[in-house]
Amino acid sequence: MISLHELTKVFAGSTAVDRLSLEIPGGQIVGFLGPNGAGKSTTLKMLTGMLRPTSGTAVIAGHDLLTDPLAVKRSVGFVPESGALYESLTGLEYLRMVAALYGLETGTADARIREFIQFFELTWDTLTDKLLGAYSKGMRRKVVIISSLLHNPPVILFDEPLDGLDANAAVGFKTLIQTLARQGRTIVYSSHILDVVERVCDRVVIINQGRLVLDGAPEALCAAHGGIPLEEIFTRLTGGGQLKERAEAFAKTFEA
Amino acid sequence: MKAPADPAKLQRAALYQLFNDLFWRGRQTSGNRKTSAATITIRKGGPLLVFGLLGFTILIFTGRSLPPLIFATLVHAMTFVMIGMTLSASCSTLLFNDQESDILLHRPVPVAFILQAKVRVLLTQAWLLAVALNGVALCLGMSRDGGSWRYLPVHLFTLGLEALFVVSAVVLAFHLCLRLFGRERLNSLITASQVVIAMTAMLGGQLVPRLISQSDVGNWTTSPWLRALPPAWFGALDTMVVSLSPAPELLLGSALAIGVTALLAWLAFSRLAGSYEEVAVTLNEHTASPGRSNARGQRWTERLTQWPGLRWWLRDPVERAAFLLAAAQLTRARDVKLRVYPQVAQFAVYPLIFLIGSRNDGSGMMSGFLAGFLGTIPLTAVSLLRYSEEYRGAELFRFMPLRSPAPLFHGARKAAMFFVFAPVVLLWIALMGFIHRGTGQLVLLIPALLIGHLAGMVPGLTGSCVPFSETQADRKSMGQGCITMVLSMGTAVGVGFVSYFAMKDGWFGWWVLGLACLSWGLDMVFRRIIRAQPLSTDD
Repeated sequence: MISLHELTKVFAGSTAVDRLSLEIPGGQIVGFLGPNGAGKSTTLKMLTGMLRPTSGTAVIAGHDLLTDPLAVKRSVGFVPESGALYESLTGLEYLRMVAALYGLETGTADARIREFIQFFELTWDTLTDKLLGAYSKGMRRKVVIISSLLHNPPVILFDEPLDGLDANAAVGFKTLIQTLARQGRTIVYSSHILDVVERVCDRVVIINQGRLVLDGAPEALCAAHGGIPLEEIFTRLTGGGQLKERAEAFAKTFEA
Repeated sequence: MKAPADPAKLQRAALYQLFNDLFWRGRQTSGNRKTSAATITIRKGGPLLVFGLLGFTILIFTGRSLPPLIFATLVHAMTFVMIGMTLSASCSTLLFNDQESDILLHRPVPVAFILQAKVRVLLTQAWLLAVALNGVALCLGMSRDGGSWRYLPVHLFTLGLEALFVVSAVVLAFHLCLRLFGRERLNSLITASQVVIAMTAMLGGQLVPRLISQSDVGNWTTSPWLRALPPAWFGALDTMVVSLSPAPELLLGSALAIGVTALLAWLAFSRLAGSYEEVAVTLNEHTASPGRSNARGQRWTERLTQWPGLRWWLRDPVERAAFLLAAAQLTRARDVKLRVYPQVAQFAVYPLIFLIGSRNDGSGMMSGFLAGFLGTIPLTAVSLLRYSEEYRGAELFRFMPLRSPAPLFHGARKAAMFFVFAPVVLLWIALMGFIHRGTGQLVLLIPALLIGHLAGMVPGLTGSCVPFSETQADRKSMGQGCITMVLSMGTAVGVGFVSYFAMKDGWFGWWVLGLACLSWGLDMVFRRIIRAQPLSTDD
């Protein structure tokens, strides 16, 4: 479903993503991990057609990203990390606008939106009466997630999707994406919360400084590294060694 | 059975609706107030009313028996300046928004659709505002000598053509700046372009009527420069259709109006439209320049506050921090720059034109009037520092151990005085010295400085004192802002006139002394009121 070959992005002489190659079949949830600035968001933005790769190729849901970006965009649902919204629109105005951009008519969109708001425990009145600027962080996140799934995409890219969601909504969301994957959808899940990734994802990909450093099933990776947890594998591979010692030493500076 | 809708048609309609809503409501709202979408739409409809009222200024010309071409040209000059200024203020935030990429660029929409929808919105709004502004002119044009009912349809048409001309020119100006100067400095270029466009619109709107009134305007042969003025082209088109006169100069003007508009539109929306996609993607890629810091990591603004005078002026650490924050916003934040500088440019340009016009007036009356006018700059600048796209950052102040927002307000106010008011005053000193060939009238600036100091405190009395804590959509009613502005401007201009008479009659020293005492007293009162303001608007 997603096929990347030597995908590279260079910003003003600095390489954000360096010859990344990956094959992700349908029905898989891939945890996309890396420290801050590793190139995760840049990769996701390239896969959605928001950024043009400097070199390399990407085929998503059978469409070439470089030659047919609109077809790729039709096949992809994306939750960006920023969670940007037009705050002076109501939730319903925003979702209807997004639905129209995917070619859904208002009647069809409304029926779909009603299903989503029931699942996410929102109310129709909230969507119609309040401007998005007045929503809580969790509600805004729910609206962004709904806007990414409205058109029923075969490929879904999440960048920190749980940011702001309460525990109940998070549990429901994790179950939802696991079910969507079983239906054959490809899901890329980028997050810094390694516990969730370990529990939800079938496969984990770690990148550091734009390069692929690890790829495999969580259990297999842990077994191959002597049974240590994923968190420890991550810190070893991404240069975060002796974190506990450093934190303890730094905490002592507060005593003065 | 109903056929499925054309996806492209749905997309175009949705984008038009979106950008239309954003144009009237603003892009953001902090949600601090329970404002409904309908209320915001009504509130933002206020500009139509304001433009309708501004249209009454055309009555100034009704006392004169102006030839039809001159009347039509003046009407179009007024429209050009108002529409040009409005569009330059809103155009760049609508056309180029870096947050938009996360919302729209991953949707299956051709970027050309986005540009087309934005242009349609700009055109529609420009035309609506132009019609509102020309309500009085339309009635006059039909009822005056030589007028006709034909003026109504033809003027509505020329206003549409003029809206297309202005929108095309603004979009083309942005495109050309990007092409000529590259995309690396995109944000600062957009800001600079907007300031230049706003100032050009104002200068043009002021200069054209003056040129017209000082020349033999009825004849394009003896006043060939008329052919270079776009308002005259549109005036010629109005006049030709209304009078049914195919005079050569009217034909030429009409041809220029239609031909140049078509050329500009083609260049802006067809020839250069391809670069819009590049710009949209670039805004997504754009990373802010880190700027230059010294070895201790200090930026130039921070080093500035180490100067002895400023160090004393900013001795309160909270004020100093707010000053640095405001300085950073005034020099780096695109939305703040776009809001503040074009607005302040009006105050610099209008007086400049009057000052040049009064170069032979040795009495100093105009200088006194203009110096008073100058005193209102801090009011505008400080008021605008309430708003920011980064309004959420102001949450920080609400959980800081501060008793009052006063030091935050004064820090931002001092930044506005230092970075906005002081440069304009210096420019004025240079201009007055140059134009009047001496420094005799410079003392008229002293009352203006005293009034400017007080005017800078007025925003703290009438609204939130926490800088950068609101969005444009949270702006209080336009009426309240207008009343504050008119009162302050009236006071400032009144002070300017009194200063002139005081100087003329030899009691200027006493006047300044009295004014200084009054300012000192009001300063104390204002500070007390500001200190008592709540830190949070929700309190």
